[in-house]
Amino acid sequence: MTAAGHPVESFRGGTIQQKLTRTSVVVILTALVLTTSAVVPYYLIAGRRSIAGELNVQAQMIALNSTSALLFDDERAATETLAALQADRNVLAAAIYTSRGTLFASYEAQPSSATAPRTTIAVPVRDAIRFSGLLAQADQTIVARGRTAGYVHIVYSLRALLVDVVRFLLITAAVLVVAVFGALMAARRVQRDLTVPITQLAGAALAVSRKTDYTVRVPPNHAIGELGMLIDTFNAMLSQIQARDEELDASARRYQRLNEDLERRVAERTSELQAINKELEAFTYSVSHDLRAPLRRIDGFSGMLAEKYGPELGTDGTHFLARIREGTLHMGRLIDDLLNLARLGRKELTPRPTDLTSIVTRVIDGLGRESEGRTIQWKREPLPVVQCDPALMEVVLTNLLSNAVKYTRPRAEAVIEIGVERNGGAPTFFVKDNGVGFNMKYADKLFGAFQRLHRADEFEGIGIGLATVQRIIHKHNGRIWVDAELNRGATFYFSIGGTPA
Amino acid sequence: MAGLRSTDAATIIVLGVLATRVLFASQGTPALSASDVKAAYLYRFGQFIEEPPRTGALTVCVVGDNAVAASLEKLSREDPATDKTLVRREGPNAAGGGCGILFVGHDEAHAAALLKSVGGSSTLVVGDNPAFLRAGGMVAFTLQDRKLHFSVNLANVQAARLKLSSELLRHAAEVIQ
Repeated sequence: MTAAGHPVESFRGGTIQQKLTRTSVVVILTALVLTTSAVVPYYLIAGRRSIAGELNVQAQMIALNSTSALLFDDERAATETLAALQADRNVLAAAIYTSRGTLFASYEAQPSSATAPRTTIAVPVRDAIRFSGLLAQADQTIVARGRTAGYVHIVYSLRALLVDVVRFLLITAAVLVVAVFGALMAARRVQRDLTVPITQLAGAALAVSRKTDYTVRVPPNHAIGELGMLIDTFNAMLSQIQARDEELDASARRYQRLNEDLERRVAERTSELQAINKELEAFTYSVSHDLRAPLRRIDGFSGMLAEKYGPELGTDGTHFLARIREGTLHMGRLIDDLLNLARLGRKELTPRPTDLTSIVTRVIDGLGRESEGRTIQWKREPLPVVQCDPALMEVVLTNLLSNAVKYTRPRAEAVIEIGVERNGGAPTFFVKDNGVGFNMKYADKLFGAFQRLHRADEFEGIGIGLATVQRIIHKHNGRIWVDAELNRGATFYFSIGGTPA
Repeated sequence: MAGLRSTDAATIIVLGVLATRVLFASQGTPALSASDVKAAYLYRFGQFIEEPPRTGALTVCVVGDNAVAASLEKLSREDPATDKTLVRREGPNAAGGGCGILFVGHDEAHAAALLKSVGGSSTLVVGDNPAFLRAGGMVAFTLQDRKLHFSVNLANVQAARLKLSSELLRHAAEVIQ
């Protein structure tokens, strides 16, 4: 069943309308069946009683009026008396018998063998009214001066009574039809007032729970009383939910737009930065490369100058020349470092299983010149074999270890520790020294190119080593950070993204 | 032998009577003579005389027909009613005084004189043939289709200050006004 376009599932025990209709019909049927079963027997009993009374009167009248006819053997008069019975259409036949039981006069409404009176009867006949099937039969003794003069016999049809009962049943059936029709109409009316709103409410509730569609509303038409209030409340509730839902949707959309905007801006910035970086690298590379040629000439000619005219230049001249040549040498190193840093940006990694322990050994050996005349205590532990670019990893360790050697120079005994920490994930390597350290508030400047925390006359260097180290570690998808305190040494930690080989 | 023979004869008679009775009873219509029917009618006429009102028993007088008188006497004997009808046989010159009903039989030769003598005494005078009505009679038996009927001369009845029940007149074969 559908009502007002709302799809409705099949309900337990049928719809309210079906129940109402069923109940009404059952009540009507019960009432009519009870009435009929009470009235019909009563009608039959009352009808029989009244027929018996009527027959008795008729029989006595006939008896009275036919007494003299019997006395004077007047069949004609007796037949006339009986003929009066034709006024009652229910009388089928009647007869008057003599006191000896012979037929004296007779009457038949419609002469036929079925109703023809018997020519003789057994006497005496007891006065009585007998009912059998569709017939009632009356017997009445005719008495004259205390003696039996004869008998009256009347045959009466009960068809009229039956017709009445049938008519009553037909009327009952007609009433039933009208009442059921009325009940159906009433049920339809109730449906309009009651079940239509409920059905619509149920449909709306289903739509809300199944499709989370909060735009549905139950039409308030026809709803009466508490139902109307229920529908209004339901609609108000839906309105609130819908408003909240729309608000949520709007804010979600707003956040999504914001997010997309941010991502777009990040991507723009990233690509801008990448472009700038590329330009910078190209610039650095070309500048460094182009600087070499004039530097070589300065160095070459200053060398030739020292060779050819050294003695003529005097002590001061030779010293100045030496200082020029030192300057060119330093500049040459600067250019080399710059070129190396620039090259790193372009270089592709060639990772393979690498034994870090052997690299550390090689690096420490290479640091011989710098550690000459120093007391350095190396604390080492075996390092794992990891997947990385061995040449670049050697650059990383060279930088970190030479830094450690460099910044521990003021210490009478330098302690440099190289180790690994394993905290579940990838191993974290560290290089720890007891050197001069630094203030942690400058830590973010540490890995920038040409950024230095110490003066060049204090600790030599151009501030490009840690920038190079960071770049290599990042290329390995790793991370590098530092923990330090002024005058208490520094610890550099790094990890490489790849799993241990 | 003779004694034995008389016993046999008695037995046969008794059996014959019994057989006759049984035969009659089984037929239900014992043969009635014309006198019996006339006597029955006379006996019943009394019930239909409305004026003068009757006090006590009705006397039916018969003159000139001994058979009818005998039948009447038999009926009277069998009547169980307390106010049973009395029957009186009148001589040839009887005046008919005190009779409720006077039947003048076919043997009576002086019917006219008889009628004159009972005039004014409220006696219902019944004759044996229709001609009797024209001679001043009130009711007369008549035979039609081998069945006994009666006719009434109402003028003569009224002249005698008698009133017959309409019920009786209904059964009359002819009513002369």
